Amino acid sequence: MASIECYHCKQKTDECPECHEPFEQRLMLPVVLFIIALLLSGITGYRWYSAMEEHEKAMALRQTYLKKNPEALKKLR
Amino acid sequence: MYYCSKCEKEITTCPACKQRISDTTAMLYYQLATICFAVAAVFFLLELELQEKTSKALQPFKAAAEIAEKKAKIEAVDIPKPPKKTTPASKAQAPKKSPIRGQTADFRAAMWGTSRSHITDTEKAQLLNDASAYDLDYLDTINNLNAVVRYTFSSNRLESGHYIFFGDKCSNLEQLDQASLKKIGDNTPNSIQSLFEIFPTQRNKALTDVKSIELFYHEMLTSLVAQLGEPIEMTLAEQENQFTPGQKAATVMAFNRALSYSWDTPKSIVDLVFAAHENSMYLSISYHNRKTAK
Repeated sequence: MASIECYHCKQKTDECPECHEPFEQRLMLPVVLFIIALLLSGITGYRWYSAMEEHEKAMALRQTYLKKNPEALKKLR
Repeated sequence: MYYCSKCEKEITTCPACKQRISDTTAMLYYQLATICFAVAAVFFLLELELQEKTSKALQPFKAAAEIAEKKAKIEAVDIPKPPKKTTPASKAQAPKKSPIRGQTADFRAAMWGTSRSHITDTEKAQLLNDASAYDLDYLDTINNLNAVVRYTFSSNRLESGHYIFFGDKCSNLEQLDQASLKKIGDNTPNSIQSLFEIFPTQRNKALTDVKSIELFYHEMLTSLVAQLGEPIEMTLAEQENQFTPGQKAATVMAFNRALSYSWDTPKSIVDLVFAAHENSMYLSISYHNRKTAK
C-alpha cells in the first residue's frame, strides 16, 4: 500500500483526502523510461567496446604493416 | 504519481498542510533514466571517434587493398600474353595493320573488365557524353573521318566498344535506278535510328554519295576480313557474293537497310554493321567481350 510522507509537516498519509480510500502509486512511465535508457546505454556500451577492440586490432595491423612497408608511411605524410 | 482510482484524481498536495508533494520514487527513476541516457550518448560519441580513428589507421591498407583488387580484376579478365616475336620474312607476310588505330588491347588501349574511371583517365579523345551509367562516348578522327568511340559498361566494367561512323544525307540517290535495285538485308533497327538522334552533329561530309560510301564500306569489310578471316555470320549468308559492294551500298542507302557481319575471335566477338537511316550512312565496328557477349 502506498503512502505519502510530507516533507513539510512530516505527516504520513495513506488514503485519499476526499474519499478516504487507499490510493495507489503509479510508476509505469518512469520505470519504462528507465528500462529503455538502461538498454540503450548497454547497447551503446557494447558497440563502443567492439569498436575499441577493432581499433586495437587495426592499430596492431598498422604497426606491423608499416614496419614491413616503411614507404607507406611516407605516402601518408 | 499518487493516484486515487476511486475519485480518478491525482494527489498532488499534502492533505494536512496543503503543500505540494512529489513522488520521490518516480523522481529517482527519472534521474536514473537521465543518467543512463547521458551514458549512452557518451558511449555513442566515443564509438564514433573510435571508428574515425580506426579508418585512419587502416588508410595504408585501403590503398594496398585497392591496388590488389585492381590487380585481381586485371588477372580475372585474362591478360593477353605478348606474342612471341617472330621476324616476318617479308613485308607481304607481315600482318596487316588495323584501320582502327590502337588495337593493341581488347578495345583501343583498354582490356575487357577495365573500370570506367581508368578509361576516363586514359582516353585521350574528345569526350562527347559521360551522362549515361552504361555508355561513355568520345569523338575521334580515324582516316580523316569523325568517329564516335563508344565504351559500354556493365557493373562499371568494360563490356564492349564501338567505332561508329555517321555519314551526312546521301545526295545522289535520285541518279540511281531504284527500280532495278533489289531490296537486300534487314530494315535498319530502331536502336540504330535512335543513335542518329543522340549524335546529330557527328556526320561526315565525305560520306554523302553512294560511291564514297561504297568505297568506305568495302575498305572496312576487306580490312576486317584480312585481319579476322571470313565472317562466321552475315545477313546475306550465301547471297553475299551475288551482289557487288556498289549494289549493296546503293540498296542500303536507297531503302534504309542494314547489313551485318560477325567474327569470332578468341577474346572478342567483332561485328560490322552497315546501315542507313533517312538516307544517311551508319557504319559501326563493335568489339564485345567474348565471355559476356549475348
